[in-house]
Amino acid sequence: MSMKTSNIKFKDRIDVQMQDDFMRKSVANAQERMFTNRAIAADKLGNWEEWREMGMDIRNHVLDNLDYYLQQLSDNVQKNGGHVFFARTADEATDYVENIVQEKNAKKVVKSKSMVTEEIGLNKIIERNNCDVVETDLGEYILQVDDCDPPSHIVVPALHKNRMQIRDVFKDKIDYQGSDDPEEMTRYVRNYIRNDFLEADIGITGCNFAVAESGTVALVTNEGNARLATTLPKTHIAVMGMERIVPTFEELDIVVSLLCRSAVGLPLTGYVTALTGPREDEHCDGPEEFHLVIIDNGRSDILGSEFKDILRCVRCAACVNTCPAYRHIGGQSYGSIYSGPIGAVLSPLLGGYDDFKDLPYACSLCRACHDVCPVKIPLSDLLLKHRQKMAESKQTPLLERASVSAFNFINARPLLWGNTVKVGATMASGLIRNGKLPVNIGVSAWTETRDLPEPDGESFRSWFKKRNQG
Amino acid sequence: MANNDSEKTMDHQTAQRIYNRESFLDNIAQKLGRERKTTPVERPALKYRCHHDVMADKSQDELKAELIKYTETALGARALETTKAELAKTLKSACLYYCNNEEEDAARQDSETILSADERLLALVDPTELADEQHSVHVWDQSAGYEPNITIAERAQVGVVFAEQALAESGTMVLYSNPAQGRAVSLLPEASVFIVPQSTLIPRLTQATAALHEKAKNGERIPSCVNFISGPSSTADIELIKVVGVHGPVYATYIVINDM
Repeated sequence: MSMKTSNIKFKDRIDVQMQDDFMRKSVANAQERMFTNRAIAADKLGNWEEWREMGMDIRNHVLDNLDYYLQQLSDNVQKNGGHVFFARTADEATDYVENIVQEKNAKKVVKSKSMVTEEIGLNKIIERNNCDVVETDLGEYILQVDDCDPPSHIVVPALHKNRMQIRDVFKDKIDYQGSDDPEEMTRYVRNYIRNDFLEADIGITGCNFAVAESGTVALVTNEGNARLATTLPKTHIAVMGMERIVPTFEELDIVVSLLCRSAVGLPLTGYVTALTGPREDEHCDGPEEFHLVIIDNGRSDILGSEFKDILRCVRCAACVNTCPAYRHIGGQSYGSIYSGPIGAVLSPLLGGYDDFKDLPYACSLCRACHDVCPVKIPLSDLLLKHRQKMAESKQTPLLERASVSAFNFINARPLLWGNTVKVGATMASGLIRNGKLPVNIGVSAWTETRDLPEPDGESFRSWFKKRNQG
Repeated sequence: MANNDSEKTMDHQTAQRIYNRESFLDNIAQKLGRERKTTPVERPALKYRCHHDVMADKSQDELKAELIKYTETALGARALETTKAELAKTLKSACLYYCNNEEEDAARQDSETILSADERLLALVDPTELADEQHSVHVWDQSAGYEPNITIAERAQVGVVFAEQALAESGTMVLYSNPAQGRAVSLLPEASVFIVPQSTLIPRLTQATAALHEKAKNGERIPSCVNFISGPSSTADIELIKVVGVHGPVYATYIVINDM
């Protein structure tokens, strides 16, 4: 899978998703629960605003000094005996991993959940070398065995499927005969892929945060699959977006505390694993070889742009869990592995406006995402910036641009403005009936989903003038 | 063997294992609109101290109470207290708790436990005291290498490890990998038993990361695998329903040694 998950038009995707009653109900329930858990956890910790501010400051400091911290990180990984590959593009990254797969003559790779490896489409590159890739996070595993169904949430990727659907997938694909009980299905998968961990030649993980001062990669997980993938195979490859770094363990404390509470409402997840290089010589488990692949893939362009703030993101999905647009259209509507507010900002930046021009409009600008973001990213401001940029670069529909430029022309001329709104008010009161425009003046796409107020035939300015005189 | 080791050491010191770095970092500096920064950057002090304030006023006994409460209510794990003198007895019953047949009254099955060889643990417990005719106890043996240790750990019902610290806020055991205590001991067996001295209980992650920061500042290598483990493995990937026991251990018991 690469970042783009669908070739269907955005509007058609939404139409399909909106018909899926289970998905809509389950997304609404999930949002409610995750939102509540996050709020309770933040409340219980206390001083949440201070924590958020520290999170924001740490991430900003790292971005402002990213070249230094990446240098320090890579020096330390090398000192510990690991390899570091800097990849400007997705292709450079996948080439490097492919070389390792070939060099080791690897037949099996176990992976723990990693969004960035999805972003660069790593699995299919490995698989073309006659090497199996097993996604071992339960959610990712469900999607993988279901013919690589796209994820619908960055933390809970199979959120759109119910237990009956999952049972049917397992029955079809992995000989499951049991019930739709989540515990029974989970245990079955545990046993079913157990040997994959023991047999794998390479373990691949993402990286929640790298610690520059020690060359450490920290993984924040629950299932134990990331631990298995970094304990049993001889080679461990960690893939990270270049901005996922903190200066020292002291900052790691703050960002991990924010991440766990914001993602799952817990003080810590089941496992926070800090891995520093390959195993020491006298140890007998853990990887003999460690590779860190650091990926740009468009991030440096973001760093030098007005969208820089988005690189603070810690991928907790708190914004997703609070977004009313996501609630209604579901994650797969976004057509990107990154959904919700973070996805609507990030996907066009990493994947371009051609494929993702609609996403910045999947937002009602309610700003709920601002309030929950643990590193205070102004998500809806960034979505507005996207809209502005697209308008400026003439990516928006011709009619919208024509009306905006006509508005600008009239707005800059007070006399013309006064007359236009008077005419407009009179015309509108004649045209609007029951909140709809019966006459198509070319804005039906806009009005069919919105009700128009019925005006009283007078402009605000003339009403105000009269009121003052009276 | 000695030759191999020295070759490997040489390799670590001399081999270039960083690829494409300069152009990559030059580009970042350019995007930031300035020259490359190659000398240490001053790290601003954190603006607040709220992370230090969490449970700051609690005594060791109170931290223990918090740890036990959180472990039993939120993590679905067991928490026991014991003394140095009673440890062997407590540990044996904790291990056997996971070795018994699930059907009550059924005869006990043959079972196995793998024990970390951490000297702090072996100083407190004689492995033979834990064993009986139906319960064999193995000790992690670094000299045997990967295969035999992993085979036993995968077969064993219980893995016993010694924790560096425990975090009261999140019911977390902190493990540093060391040659005597492999990563697999707390990972492959279905049940994990953690032994932790009460004196090493700390409020939260803040104090644990401070210790790691000290090590890094002094130029020490951080152990290759430091784990913060909060209860057994779990998932909520199916309809957000929490299921305990996925790929990692299914069960966990914490044993706090009160007089240590």
